[in-house]
Amino acid sequence: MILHNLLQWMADTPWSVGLHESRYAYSIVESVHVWTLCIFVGFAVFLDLRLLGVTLKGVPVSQITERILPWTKVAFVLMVISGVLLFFAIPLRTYHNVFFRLKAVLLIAAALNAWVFHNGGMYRRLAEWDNDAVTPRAAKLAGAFSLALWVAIIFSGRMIAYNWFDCDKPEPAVIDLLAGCVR
Amino acid sequence: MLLPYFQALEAGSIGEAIRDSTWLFPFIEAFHLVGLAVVGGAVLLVDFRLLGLGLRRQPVAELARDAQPWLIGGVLFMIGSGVPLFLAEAIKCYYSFAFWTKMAALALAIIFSFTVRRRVALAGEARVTPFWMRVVGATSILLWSTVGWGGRWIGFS
Amino acid sequence: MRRQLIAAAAALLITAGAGPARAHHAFAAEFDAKQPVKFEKAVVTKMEWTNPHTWIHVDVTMPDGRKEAWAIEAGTPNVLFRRGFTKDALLPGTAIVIDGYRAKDGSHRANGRNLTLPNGQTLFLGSSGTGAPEEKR
Repeated sequence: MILHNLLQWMADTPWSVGLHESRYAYSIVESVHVWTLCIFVGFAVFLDLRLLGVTLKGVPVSQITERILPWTKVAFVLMVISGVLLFFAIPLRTYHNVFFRLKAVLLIAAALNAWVFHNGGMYRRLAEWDNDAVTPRAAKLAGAFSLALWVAIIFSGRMIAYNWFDCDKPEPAVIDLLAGCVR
Repeated sequence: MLLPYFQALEAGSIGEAIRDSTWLFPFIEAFHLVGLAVVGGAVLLVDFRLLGLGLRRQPVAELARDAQPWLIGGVLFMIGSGVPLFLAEAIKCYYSFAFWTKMAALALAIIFSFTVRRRVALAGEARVTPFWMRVVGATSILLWSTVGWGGRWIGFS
Repeated sequence: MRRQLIAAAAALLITAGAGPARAHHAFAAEFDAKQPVKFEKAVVTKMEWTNPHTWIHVDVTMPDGRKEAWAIEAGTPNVLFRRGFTKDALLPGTAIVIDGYRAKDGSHRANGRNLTLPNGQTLFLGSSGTGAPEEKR
């Protein structure tokens, strides 16, 4: 309930209302969110495909992480900022949206996957397998998980817009539970 | 003019099926977005290299060869998902200036990518000066961005 | 450094290709083109000038005299303003004629098509790019 009240307070702030009712700002924020997704996921896909040994096989993995990932970091920061703003514009509905919740869980999983990959012992020994077309199993798994997760994140993010399971209509009990509907 | 064809396309069974369904349009659209990420990565990897950024140590020809199947596959995937989306609302597209801009830019981008850009990339550093590589890379980015902007403005025309 | 900034800007531009999926908030996902509705006697109770859709809340007097509360979905504030709406046009108490397409879930919601103001002016409400039937200029 505390969280619900906090979100209600957030929704009533002039900034939230302003963004929610804006003529241009909301569209711009939304566009930035999808544009940066294209850069971020686009490049991440190719790193993942490299880890899976599917493409860019002649390129050392370190070249991709050192020269391509910095671009993805910029894109990621913009994605997060714009995403937070989108949430902030419509806090209550978004918070209670099952697709948003799914997306949040998947984002955490993707972040964990990346963290494990970059901080694992195998990555520290990158020099040993940097030039291999066939990477260690852990690297392949990281790449595969990343691909699957980001596809799922894109899907769940797109579905947030639809009102199929919104709390302002009667919903089956399981949806009420998952969405945390306050009735 | 073309309007009767667009009306017929919209009235066809695919368009009908998508309009009748609650989830088909969003689902196909999400796939379209995924395809977009793949095309984005495939295009930008090579265009960045042409601009002298990103994977600079790799010969541009090698990158172009690696990225090409993904560019082709990605574009085919986007056309494959884009056509049903179009069929669901063909008449709206007909009247949309943004839609025609997008289609023209798409045709130009595809032609450019598989003629000029391909030849320049495969010829490589030995035969093409950095200046012309940058021109080609910048042109490619401009063309594909126009496809994107056109697509974006369909919804706001 | 400058080249990198230019490349970053270019990359952002190219990824504007992400646009179309966002713009096509599918009509068919929530509304039924086969269930048109027309409300001759609707009175605005509340107007939400919000993104991604504006909502016009009305009290509708049905043919049998009953009153029903309906919510009509329309385009973004920017789209509506460009078509000629102003924030004063739909103040509570305004009598309007409105037609559109019913929600698929049976709720009292509709995707708005045409709205006629008290002064006789008819404006198109639809969210552009919805896939709603027969969107004409």
